[in-house]
Amino acid sequence: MPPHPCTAVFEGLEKGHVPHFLPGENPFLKDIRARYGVPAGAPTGGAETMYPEYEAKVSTNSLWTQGDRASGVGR
Amino acid sequence: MTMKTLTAAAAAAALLALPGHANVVAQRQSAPAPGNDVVRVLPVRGNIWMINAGGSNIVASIGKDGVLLVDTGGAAMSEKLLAALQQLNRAVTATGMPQKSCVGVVQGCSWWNSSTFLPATAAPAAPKPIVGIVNTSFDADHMGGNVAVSAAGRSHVGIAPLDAWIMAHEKAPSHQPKSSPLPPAAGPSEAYEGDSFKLNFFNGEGVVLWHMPAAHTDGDTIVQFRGSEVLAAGDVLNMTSYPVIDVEKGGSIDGVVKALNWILDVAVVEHMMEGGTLIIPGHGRLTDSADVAYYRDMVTIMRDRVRAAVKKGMTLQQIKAAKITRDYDGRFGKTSYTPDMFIEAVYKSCSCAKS
Ligand SMILES: [Zn+2]
Repeated sequence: MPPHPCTAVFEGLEKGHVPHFLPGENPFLKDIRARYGVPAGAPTGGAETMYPEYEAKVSTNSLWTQGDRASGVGR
Repeated sequence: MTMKTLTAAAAAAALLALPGHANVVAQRQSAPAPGNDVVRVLPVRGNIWMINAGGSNIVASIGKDGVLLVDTGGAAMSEKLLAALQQLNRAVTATGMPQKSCVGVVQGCSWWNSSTFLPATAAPAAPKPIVGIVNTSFDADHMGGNVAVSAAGRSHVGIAPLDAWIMAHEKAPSHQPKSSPLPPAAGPSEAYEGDSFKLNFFNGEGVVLWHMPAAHTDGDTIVQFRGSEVLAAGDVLNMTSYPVIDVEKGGSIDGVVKALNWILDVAVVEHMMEGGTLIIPGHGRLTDSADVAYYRDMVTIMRDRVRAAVKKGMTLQQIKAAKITRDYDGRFGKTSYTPDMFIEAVYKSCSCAKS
């Protein structure tokens, strides 16, 4: 059996450090919205977002037209 | 599954259940939760067996030197535990499972190996007694069975045979409530001090006790079985809930994080698969390094969140109201040790700058 193929490297982090974002501080949560111009709530809206009825909800949502897509972030 | 049909093979097939949790709140109650009053047995590796009695995990090393137990579960389960142990001990002894190590002068393995011939020539070798008990902490759900189990065992510390000895870190029994002190027979007959203690070479392997300062309590011990490569972690690791931090008994969140990191330091990963060093938690299912790493991450993240909240000037009430454990509550927040109790313990014991 070969020795363990992975090597530990020093990442400049304190031992036992667990990388994470504190609540409300994760910038990547807005990534998909920004890239695809999806209104807030759609990427994380769950089952509801799979049904056609959700479209009506989205089209009346001002974010759809004035929100992230309009700002062009991430395109 | 009852223990009635237990043979070594049946025991190997027996699975442990996910138990409920007897914790700080519930542990003073004598009766286990309904449906949680069964004993389940899981062979771990080598000489080591994991026994779940009433939701608490007990670890047994069974072999030519007898039975060594880590914890004894709640008092209400003692009778069932002893019955199960007796049956398991007999089954393991009769099958003549080879010991890990046959070197040294320790009986030269002859008794143990010869037992493979015994079924043809004589009745199986008589099982050896329970010789000792190590307590990972002095919680009622881990030492509740001490009196009954010790009395059922036999050891030879001096010349005359005694009940099985009971061992714990010297700080473990120091926080008993004055209103209901322990019966003397439940307390440790031996205690160790300092960071660690080499217990003995037992059933063919080195057994070492490691003290985890100020973690679940300030008298926590992790037991290391160096031949079977198994750790009995006690309540610093709890697969059914957030770690129970008993601040009154000297426990702290930083100590729990440290203890979990210690386990990760000591445990060896089996590359690309489950296995490697196996770690038996105080409650819940058997784990390996990956499980401990996830748990360590969760506990560390919770500590960091409380720390950040305190830094922002939030009070304990505000932190509780902010539900900062919400994303983990589905997994760990469903027992009588509630997320609020966990947050409070973290808040009270963390090294956070409180104004
Ligand atoms: Zn416990």
